[in-house]
Amino acid sequence: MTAPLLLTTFERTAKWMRRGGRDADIALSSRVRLARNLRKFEFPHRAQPADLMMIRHRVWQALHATGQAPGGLADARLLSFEEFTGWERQSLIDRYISSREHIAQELGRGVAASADAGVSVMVNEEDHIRIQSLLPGLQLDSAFTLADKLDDALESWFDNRGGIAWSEEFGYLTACPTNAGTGVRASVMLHLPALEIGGKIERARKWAEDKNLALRGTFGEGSKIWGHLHQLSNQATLGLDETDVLLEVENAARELCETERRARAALPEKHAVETRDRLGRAYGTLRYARRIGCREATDCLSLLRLGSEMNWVKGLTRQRFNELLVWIRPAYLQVLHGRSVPSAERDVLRADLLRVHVTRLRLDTGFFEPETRKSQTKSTPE
Amino acid sequence: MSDENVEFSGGADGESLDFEALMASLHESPRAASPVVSSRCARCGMTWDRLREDGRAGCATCYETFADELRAVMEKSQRGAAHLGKTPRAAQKRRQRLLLLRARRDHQLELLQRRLQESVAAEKFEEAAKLRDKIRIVESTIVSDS
Repeated sequence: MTAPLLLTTFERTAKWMRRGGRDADIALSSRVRLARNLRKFEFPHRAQPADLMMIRHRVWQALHATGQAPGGLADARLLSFEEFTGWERQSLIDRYISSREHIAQELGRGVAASADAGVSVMVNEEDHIRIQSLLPGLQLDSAFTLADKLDDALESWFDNRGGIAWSEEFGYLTACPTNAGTGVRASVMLHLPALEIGGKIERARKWAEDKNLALRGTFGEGSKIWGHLHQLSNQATLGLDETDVLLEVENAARELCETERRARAALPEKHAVETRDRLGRAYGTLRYARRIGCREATDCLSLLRLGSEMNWVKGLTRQRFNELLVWIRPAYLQVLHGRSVPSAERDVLRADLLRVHVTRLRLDTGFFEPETRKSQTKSTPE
Repeated sequence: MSDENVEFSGGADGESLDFEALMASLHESPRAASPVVSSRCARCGMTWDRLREDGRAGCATCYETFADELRAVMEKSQRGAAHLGKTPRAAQKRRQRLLLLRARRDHQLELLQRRLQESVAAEKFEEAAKLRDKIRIVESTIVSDS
């Protein structure tokens, strides 16, 4: 039974892919995650299978009972991992509503999410409950409000049923003490190609570190950078309140956006040939390739997105760039086609999908002039 | 934190008392005062060494069992060791009730003390003795979080 369940479960265009939020030319999405645990059970990595099942059962019950309450998840899709294949679970990572560690085991694990995946709950990942909200652009406050309301709703349900693990001193108790306190992780996905081309990404990383923030790879901790996408997030969760966490991340994100914007404005002068070369190659690859791997496709898309923001390339919206970023993921492609597709065939399907969209792109005259240096007219971003 | 959570070596696990380890633990552990090699969480059996190695606690009770150690770590790795921010409503209610109970007890004590003084001044010693006993009882009332 490999019906394309997940395809019908969620909307293809997630909430975060749509328009919204500030600084959307660079900040793709804002995410707030709250880590919570049930007092009565041991943390997932120590809990017995029966307990894990019970915890998930309870969370499903709680979501169901609070669905109509303020802040509740009314249209929650409840996915128990045992019911899905490995690649279907993998596609949840592509949608940013699960994690590698989470899908590695199926027993008692699960995800609940609204149809547009704007708000979701991971069950029995590192903690019993991880409430997540994911919104477009830079808008950590709104993202927090969504997650916080669902947290309130779930908490009041669990109040009479053992309660949430919390202490006066350490706040919300989490499996990993690095999350204890507020249990809040606020992160912003930043598109920083100009900083990468200018070789300034290491400096940005240090700068973030000095602020006690982390600038990490595309898929979070320990991951590589794909498509010039970097995740900025807070490190500290104890000793400061939620508002401070959000403010620190948001301010740093805005500064990084400003820096990236300056770097983009300087590209036509400082790195004219290189930028034209890379963008042109990216276009050529996506326009004419018949087989393409996910990594290469992501990097090419990223460069075309940069070109689009610089007005060098026209014809695709930010939303479409966001969508393509996810639709070309290996697991997601398989979900789209409702079957397990071998890697080589996926590369063909990916190239086909991208070609349809890239055909609509129009390049500015700078790409056709012999001297790239002369084409500095349309360089400043909006 | 209660002593029940602390398991002396040579206990259930049959570990022998290792003098060197003991001395080492005296230097390392913030709880150097007690002759403990490794304490265990009474609920899930987690030890501090394992927690530190793995980076994960076993259950909510671990945070009570290893409060001292965690406090020391948190002060270094986090922005401080005290929680600021959201409080679950249940905890908030509990805290309010506690404050209310304490306030009421203090008020009661104050009244009793005044009556005691009055009765002593009036040389009503029998009543004074009764009041004194009552004060003792009220004073020993534990108004705690549990």
